[in-house]
Formats: sequence, C-alpha cells, structure tokens
Amino acid sequence: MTMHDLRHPDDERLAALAGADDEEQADTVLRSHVDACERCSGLLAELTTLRAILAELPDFAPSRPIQLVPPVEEPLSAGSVGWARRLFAPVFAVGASLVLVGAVGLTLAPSTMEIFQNVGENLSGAEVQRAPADMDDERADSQDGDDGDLSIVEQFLRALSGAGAGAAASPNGHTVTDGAAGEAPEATSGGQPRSQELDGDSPGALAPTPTPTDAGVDGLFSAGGDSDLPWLVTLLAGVGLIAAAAILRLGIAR
Amino acid sequence: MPPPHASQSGTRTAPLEDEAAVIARAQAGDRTAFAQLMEHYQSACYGLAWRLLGDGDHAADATQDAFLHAYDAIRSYRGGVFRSWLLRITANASYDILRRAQRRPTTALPEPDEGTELPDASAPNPVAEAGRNELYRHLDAALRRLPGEQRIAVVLCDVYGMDYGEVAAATESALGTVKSRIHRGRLRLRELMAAHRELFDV
Repeated sequence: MTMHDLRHPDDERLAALAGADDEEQADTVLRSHVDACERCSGLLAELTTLRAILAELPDFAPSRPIQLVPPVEEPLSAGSVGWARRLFAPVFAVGASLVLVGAVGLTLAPSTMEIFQNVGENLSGAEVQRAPADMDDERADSQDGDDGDLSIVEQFLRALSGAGAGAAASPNGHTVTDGAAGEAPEATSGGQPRSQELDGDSPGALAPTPTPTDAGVDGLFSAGGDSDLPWLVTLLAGVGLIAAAAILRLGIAR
Repeated sequence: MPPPHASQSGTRTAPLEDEAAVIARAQAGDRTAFAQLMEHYQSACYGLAWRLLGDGDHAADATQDAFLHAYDAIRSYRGGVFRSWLLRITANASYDILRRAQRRPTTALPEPDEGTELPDASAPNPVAEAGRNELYRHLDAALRRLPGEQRIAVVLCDVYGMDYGEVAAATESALGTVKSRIHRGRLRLRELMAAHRELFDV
C-alpha cells in the first residue's frame, strides 16, 4: 500500500499546512501523502497562494483625518492648581484614616443606636407622662397670660429631659405650680420626683428646676452615648476631609 | 465604503528609513517624532481596523484609540518591528470596539466591479496592475463574507502576519480555537474565491 492510497487528510490539516503550521509540517505521513496525492497537493497549493495574496493586501488611507498626537495637557501652574494637587493626597489619606478609626471605634464601643433609642424613649416617655400635667400647665400658662411659646429647640430639650419637670418649666426657668391641682401625679425629672422640686407651701410658688439644656444633654448621652461621641466626631471629621479632598480634586480636573 | 485599493494597489507601509532614531526621539517625549511615526503607519493601522470592523467610521475610531494607547505606551516599547507593535495595539483597540458594538458589520462592500478605477498608466504593466486591484477587491469582499470570528482570525494571522499566540491574545481566545478559526476561514475563503481563481495567476 502506497502513501497516496491512504484516506485524504482533513482539509483543515491542509489549511494548517498552508500556514506553515509547525505541528502539521512535522507530520511526515501527511507530507508524504500530500506529495503523492494530486487532489491534496492541488488544494494545498491553492491555499498557499491564497495566503500569499492575503499577505499582500494593501494598506489604505483613513476615511477621515486621524489625530496623530493627543492634545497637549494644560500645564499645571505652581499656584492654585499646584497646591490643590499637592494637598489632595494627604487630605484624602487623613480623611480616610479618620473614617476608618471612627468606624472601628463605633463598632467596638456601645452602639450609637443607643443614643437615638434613648432620645426616642425619652420622647415617648414625656408624651405619656406629660398628659395629666399638661392640662394643668396649659391652664397655668393661660392664667399667666404668657402662653409660653417655647422655641422648638426648647420643647425638644424638654421632651428629652423626661416627664414633668421640663413640661412644667416656664421660659424663665421656674416651675409653675397650681394649688388646685396639687394632686397631680408625680413625675420625674432627671431622676428626681417632681414633688421634691415643688414648693408646696403656697399655690403658685415658683421653684427652680434643672435647666432644660442640662437635662436634655444628660438624657441624650446617658446610655452609652458618652463613649460613642468621640468616635462619631472622628468619623464625621473624616467624612468632611474626604469631601474636602473631593472638592480639591474637582478643582484640579477643571 | 470600499477600501481605495486602486489608489495604493499592492503597497504595504515600509519602515521609515531612520525609524530607530525617530522612535528614540518619540520615547524621549518628542511629540513631532511621535506624530511622524503615526502619520507613516496610519494607513496600515486604518487598513487593519477597517478589515476587522468592516466600517470606515469605526475603523477611524479604532485607529484614533490605538494612537492614544501608543502614545501612552511608547516608552515601554522595547525594540522589535515597530509596525507589528503598533498593529497589535490597533488590533486590540479594534477588538474593544467590536466587543462594545456587539454587532457584525452590516454594510456590505460594493460589488467589486463597482467603482473600478482606471489602471495607472505609469505602472510597468497596467493590465497586471488592474488585475491585481480587482483580485484585492474580490479578496476583501470575500473576507467580509466570512463569519466574524473567522474573519478576525484570518485577517490578523494571514493579512497582518500575527502568529497564533498573538491572535489568541488579541481576541482573548484559546489557542486551539484560534487555530481552528484560521484553518476554517482559509478553506471558506478559498470557496468564496473559487469564481475568481483565474485572477490568482495575474
């Protein structure tokens, strides 16, 4: 049996041979067959010619002008943009560090959520406890003719301070009592029973109470808030620095 | 839009005479030297992009992208054939556009007999020149009829001389897949050119 009597190789192998594929060229059986087979040698010659013509295909000019060199970047002055560029990296790095430290601190310290929970609890407690006293206070206020148009901040701090004390506080920092309503339920203010704050000797007497501000701050940070506050401040400072770095960056880009 | 073969038939961009010196100046930051290189090779780059993308506008975009990449990368060029280096960048830029477009070229080349220009009378053999131009047009038309992946592989390998590994890298395909595409593409191209086989002897 001679080589050319063998079955024809797959045409893809001949296409590989036309491309001087090392693997196919090293196959002596294939080479021998192609040398002896008219059909395969014709196909190989045709593919080789085709490949040679492909390698001659000409270049041609672009359909539209191509920009050969990128536009020159505006040189950065040593002035405003220069210092902005120099500041960007350190400001960003410090900001990111502060955010990281603050976040870690907050994670390890009692949850900041307690602050807000505390506020929420005080607010709801004040609503519940104020209900009976409010009636008296409103009456007293109306009798005074000074309807106590407290600022929103003051009202908020009063709510934070707990039940009755803040609710009864007048703008001048004194508690107004109503003798007729002396049986009003006891309420607490800063942990003190309300009755201890009142001067029960005479109706309408004034007694000093803790300022709303003191009570509010105490209430705000009484449950774990003290330990979270520095971390929260650190975190916010870091966010601020990152924002500043972003503004610097925008300035550079422009 | 068909490639203007008739105006530049059979020509491939040859290296610049003092190419090494121009490249060295471009690497040192000489923008004029870089522009000189790109101007010299823009036809080669555009031709490759056009054959890969099959569209003049996309080819111009790919050539532009390639020049920008080349400008950034010229300092990392470490010798070898500059044309091949630049063509590899163009192939990558073209392939990026191809991937983004996610489409096959839809604009068919005009029939090869359309717009056939008169042969250059100053050529040594005008008849042969005209026949060669006709052959090139038929061949480019046949290339465009190949399935997309086969066309890209054949163009990169057989038209622009990249080896299998370079084609695989440019197309992000496996080596075996690339070989198969090239071999099948050659066979399919032969079938498509069967009616014009007489031009092979011109």
